Amino acid sequence: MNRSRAGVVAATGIEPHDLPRDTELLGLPGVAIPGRMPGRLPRELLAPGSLLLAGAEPGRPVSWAEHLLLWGAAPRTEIDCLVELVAAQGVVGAGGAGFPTDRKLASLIGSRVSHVIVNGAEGETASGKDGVLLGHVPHLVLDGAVTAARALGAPRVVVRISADRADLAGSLPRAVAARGEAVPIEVSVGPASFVAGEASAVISSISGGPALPDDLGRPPALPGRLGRRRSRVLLSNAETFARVALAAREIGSQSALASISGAVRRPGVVELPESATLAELVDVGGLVGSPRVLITGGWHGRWVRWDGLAASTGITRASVAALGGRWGAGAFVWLPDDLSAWDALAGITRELADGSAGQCGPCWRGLPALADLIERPAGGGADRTAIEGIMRQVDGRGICAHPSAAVAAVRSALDLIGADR
Amino acid sequence: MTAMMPTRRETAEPAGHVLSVDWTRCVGHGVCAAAIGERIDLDTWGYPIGVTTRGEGIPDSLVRAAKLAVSTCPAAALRLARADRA
Amino acid sequence: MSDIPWTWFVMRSSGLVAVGLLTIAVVLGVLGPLLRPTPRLTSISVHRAASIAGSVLIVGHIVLAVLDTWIVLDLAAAFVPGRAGWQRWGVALGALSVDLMIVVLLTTATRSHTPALWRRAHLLAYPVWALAVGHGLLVGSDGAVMRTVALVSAGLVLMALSTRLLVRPGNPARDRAHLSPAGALR
Repeated sequence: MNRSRAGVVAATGIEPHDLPRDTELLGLPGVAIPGRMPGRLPRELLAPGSLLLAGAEPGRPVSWAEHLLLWGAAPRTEIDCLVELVAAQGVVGAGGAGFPTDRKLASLIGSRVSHVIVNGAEGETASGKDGVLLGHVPHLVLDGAVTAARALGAPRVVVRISADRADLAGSLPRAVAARGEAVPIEVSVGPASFVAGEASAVISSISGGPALPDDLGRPPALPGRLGRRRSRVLLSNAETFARVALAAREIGSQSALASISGAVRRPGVVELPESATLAELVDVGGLVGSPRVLITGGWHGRWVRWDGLAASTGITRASVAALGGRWGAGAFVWLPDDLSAWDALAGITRELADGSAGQCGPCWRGLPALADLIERPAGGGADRTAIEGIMRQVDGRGICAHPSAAVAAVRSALDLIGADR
Repeated sequence: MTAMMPTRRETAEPAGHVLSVDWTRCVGHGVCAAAIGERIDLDTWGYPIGVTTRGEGIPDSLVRAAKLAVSTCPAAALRLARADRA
Repeated sequence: MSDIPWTWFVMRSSGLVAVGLLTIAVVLGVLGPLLRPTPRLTSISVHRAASIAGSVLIVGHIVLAVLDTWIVLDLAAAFVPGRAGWQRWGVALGALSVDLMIVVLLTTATRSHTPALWRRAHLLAYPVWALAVGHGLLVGSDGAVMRTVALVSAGLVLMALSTRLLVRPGNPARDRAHLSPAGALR
């Protein structure tokens, strides 16, 4: 590990600094855990980036002029050509599901597309990459969106951000104005809740409805008063559009963009080459203590053991999956070594329960019931059978992926904790 | 009737129809479980087990019961469609 | 009595029975949510049957009333309140009741496409019933029978309403639906 740390320091020029002692009671970002300090959200860019974040430095965005010097103007491509270019670079959705973006684009060929929506809502507290992209390299993201809009014949682009990002609400309109695009680009601000960042919730909100998940079909259509309207929508994560912008220029994006937090001295966002390892990733922020557990993919992700094997795992979707983890939104959270896994799980499950939209019975009844069970003292009260019984009634039900994803995450945690006993 | 576990029922009949639920409308009245008990049970909280957003196959023998469930749901949360048009 | 056509009696009795059927429909609609799923299913089926039968009788009632030679009533007067030359206000109540009933029936037919509209429009069933009873009281020449029917009908509906307001529905999920956060977000 010493060698990789030196390598990282040499590459980025960042030295992890010492933190005051009370961080020993550090918690998890955005998760309320009794008796712990709230973990800091991974919002800042920790080091200059190599590809997506090329030209950007922490706190200093890439201007329109600089962007043009770096990348040139966004190429104009027909949709068939764009699909091929995107497929050639293997771009997949960076919002969590990892669905191949070329297939998403291809499914819209021939349809009337009314909106191209950049989802920068980032409701997941363990993830900060979309805010960093939109704040530091907005033009790369907008390039991807505009290219897609032109190719699909969509008359407008909407960039969705959350109400707690006043900084983006100020900087994005300025970036849009600097571009002087023919395609109108609107900045839309939505509620800063977990569920409001879900794809169908964003679409619903933008079309004038509530910011709540809905069944809009695949590819999603705009909801209307009398059922779905006929026009479709392209919605993708901000990072996905940035990668589309590179793919359109036939540039591969063999870099990984990830958020690190939890038992990390400096939580934040890092871009490293895909050849780097998880150890090198966390070294940029500096690990605190000796965590035994790493949560991969955010609160909807998978818990894995943090050991030599995990440390040497590459920061690619495939490698993390092979480890038993999940890339998800590229959010990695190291559990502080003095925080019991049960307490962490209880806090996260409660967070998941509070994050329910409250529309579907099995979710808004089942997740709080699950959180109640897990919050009981681990010594005698946590009945795995009862917990399983609740999870089986939550899994696979509801109108969005939240209940199933929550159950999968809790199951992976329980498997890990159980295996340790 | 409550069940802790959703059960999968195998039928030899091909499914000509698909029964689906709009979870955002369902409030757990439970009338569907009475109408088409062969397919729908109720969970701990009164919500239907055996019907999903994507839809479950309904053989011809159960179409009448499925139509009854759809028409009597007080929240109009169920939908029955022909399998090729689902 | 022999010079009064039989259609006159059928027209009046169909109106009376229709009020009875509407009363059943309203009472079942009000009390239904208090029942467990299986009895509720039966209640809904009877509610529906009573509503449909009542609607059919009302169609017959209107047709016979229009065809009757003694009452001067054209088709338009049966649907446009205030147009009737004879017993204007009494018929107007009936016309309004039928108009609202058509709204309820149409929104029920398209229920799967517009459930929110269906739910709200269904509340019109209360004025449909009340206007029908009022219509009967104003134009019913066999006053005593009609008054009894009206009294019993109103009594049943009021009893049903008070029961519903005082007794909480048995399903805890339904109970707490209004507490779900989605209510606040919407």
